[in-house]
Amino acid sequence: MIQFKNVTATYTSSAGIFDLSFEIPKGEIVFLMGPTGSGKSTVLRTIYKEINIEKGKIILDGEDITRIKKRQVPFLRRKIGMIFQDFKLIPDRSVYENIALPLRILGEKSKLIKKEVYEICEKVGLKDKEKVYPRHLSGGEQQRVSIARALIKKPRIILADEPTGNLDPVISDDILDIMEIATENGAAVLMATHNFPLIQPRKKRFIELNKGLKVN
Amino acid sequence: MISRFVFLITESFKGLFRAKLQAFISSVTIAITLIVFTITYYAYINFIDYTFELKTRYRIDVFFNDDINLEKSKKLFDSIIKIEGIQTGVFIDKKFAADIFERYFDTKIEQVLGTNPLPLGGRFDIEEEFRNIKSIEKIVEKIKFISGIDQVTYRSGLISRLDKIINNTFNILLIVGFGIFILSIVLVSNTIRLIIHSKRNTIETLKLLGATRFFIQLPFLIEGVFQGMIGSLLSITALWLIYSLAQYIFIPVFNPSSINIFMIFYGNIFLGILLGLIGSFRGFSKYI
Repeated sequence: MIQFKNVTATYTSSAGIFDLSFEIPKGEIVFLMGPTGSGKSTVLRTIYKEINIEKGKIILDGEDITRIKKRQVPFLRRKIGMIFQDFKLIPDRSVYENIALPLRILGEKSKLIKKEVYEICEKVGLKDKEKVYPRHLSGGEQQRVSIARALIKKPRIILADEPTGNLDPVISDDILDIMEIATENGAAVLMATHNFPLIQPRKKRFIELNKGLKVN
Repeated sequence: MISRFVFLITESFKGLFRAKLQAFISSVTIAITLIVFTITYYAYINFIDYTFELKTRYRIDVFFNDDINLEKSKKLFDSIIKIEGIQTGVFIDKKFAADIFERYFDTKIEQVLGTNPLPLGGRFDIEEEFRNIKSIEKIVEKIKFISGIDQVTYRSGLISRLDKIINNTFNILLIVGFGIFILSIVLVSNTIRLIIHSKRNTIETLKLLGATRFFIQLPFLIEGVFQGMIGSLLSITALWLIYSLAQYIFIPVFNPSSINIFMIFYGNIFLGILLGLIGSFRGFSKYI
């Protein structure tokens, strides 16, 4: 589902990722481990084309996205569910409006959007919070909104950049449970984190990075 | 496609209410611009009317030689009338000249001098496009070239001074009008840029969710149109109040016939929307 073949993407001569190769099949959750500055976020950013790669090849869901044109980037991003450490919720829109946004972008009808939003809210534990604004939610709830927004379009690829970074251990565990549910629908999940104790008990595959290089 | 468009229109409306203060400031900026612009425009139009009226008073007085008889004088008059730039003329015989003298000095010339020595001549009006000092000087040269002409007079000092004032005022009004337009675009776009700056995180999120540039830009453009419309309606209301007040205060000098209410209405709405659109476009071009 996600294939990295000898990918190099740099900010400066020493920062970035270098000659990185890995593969994540569908229905699997893989953790990207490493300290701050190891290149975890860079990996994710090369996938959603925030930065371009210099060498190698990235294949997503069978499609080579290495050299896609700038105007095709929004369409690529529609296929990916993204979750961020700072949630990236729109503060002046309700939970409902935030979660509905990807479907609005896809041009879905309001009736279908309503059905999907209520369904996903129930799934991630946000029932009856649809009309609430993000500022009235706890960190854990805000991250659930972010996850619901990523999952609502039923993406085949989910990228999560330190989604538990701002949350306490119990809530973080809940968040990981929700992410694992997504893999049951066949999605490939790539999650960057530096919280090894959180992922250790789950016995999932992880890729460790250090200074942009894969640690064997 | 339709549901996306409906969503974007709704978003634009909501955007106005989400950033009420900024939208209000933007609309007021547009309104002030339109008020100043409309007043400058009408100052310009009235100035044109006024100068046209003044210039109709430009004329050339021609005096024929004393030894020329009435018949030859009329031939001279006819030849002057044919000169390019002369619109109409009045032949001045001795009696007419005496009447003019009496009108100016309130006494008959015969009573002062015992006789009427005033020469025959003519008074000539100038065609509209020749009513400037250079063209009048050329016409005067042509008249002087005709034999039998004793003297040609026109108010050269006054005309050249008036021409200078008219040209300078035209230039100043044009510069002011252009300046207001540019300044307003800068002001409106900076105000809208502030709104967009406060939404930069939202824009970033929309981009990450796969929104196209068009999807992100359209609500801002529609918001710009709304702000322009609100601004133009504010300016129309204010202009109506200014007009009523001006009529009340300046009735003796005010020329309400030159005010075209439909033009003000549609012109303000058009310019308001244009300003809103240009402002929005300049505003978001940095972020989207």
